[in-house]
Amino acid sequence: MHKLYLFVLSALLWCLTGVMANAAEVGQSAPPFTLPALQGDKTNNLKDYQGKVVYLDFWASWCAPCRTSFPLLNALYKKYKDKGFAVVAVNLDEDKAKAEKFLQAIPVDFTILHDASGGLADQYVVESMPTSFIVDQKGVVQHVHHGFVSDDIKAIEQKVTSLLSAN
Amino acid sequence: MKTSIAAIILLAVLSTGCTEVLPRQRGNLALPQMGLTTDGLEFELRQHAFFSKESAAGGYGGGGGGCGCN
Repeated sequence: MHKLYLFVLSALLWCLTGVMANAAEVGQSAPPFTLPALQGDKTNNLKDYQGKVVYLDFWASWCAPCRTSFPLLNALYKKYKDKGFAVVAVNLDEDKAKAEKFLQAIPVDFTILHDASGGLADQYVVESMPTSFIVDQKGVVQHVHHGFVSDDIKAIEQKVTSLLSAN
Repeated sequence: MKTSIAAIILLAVLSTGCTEVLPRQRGNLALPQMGLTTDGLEFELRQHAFFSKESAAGGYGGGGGGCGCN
């Protein structure tokens, strides 16, 4: 009986130790990616955005806070894009049609990419929906943002402008 | 001995039901029909009435539903 107890205990402990290496923490290099655009067949690379401050947002059509964030991010993008600010929104929907329907209701100017398998999201460790990363001009993650409420845009704008003015 | 083996096999078979659902995979949980309540305002009203009657609250989950948003 002792062996059985030991086995069960070790099995339970093994289940609990689901440790994931946080691959995109502040101060680390942003993991590189090559992803197709949601609409059209252009492929985007993280390298294309070197020299720009990038707001990398992981979103999905079913995520209610994303509906709040998109118009605010679009306004922010339009305000600072000439100063070297880019917004890249990676869609994590398994069904592209749902993402396209979302974009018909909420059209935006910034780049939308599609990560069908979710592999990139797992590399960056997307702990909530949405999760966004502010990457500076050298490709280093400077800020990780979980979730979204409309007041968050002020803090994001502050962070973006400080990074834009630093270079 | 036989019961131990049977128990281990049963545990192994049943644990295949345990799986990790990542936040990005919770699209189906975010569907309106998957919500715990049908009408948010009606639920709030009931919660408030319950608090008035019982002078206690709680026992049900917090906000955000099962979709992992916020």
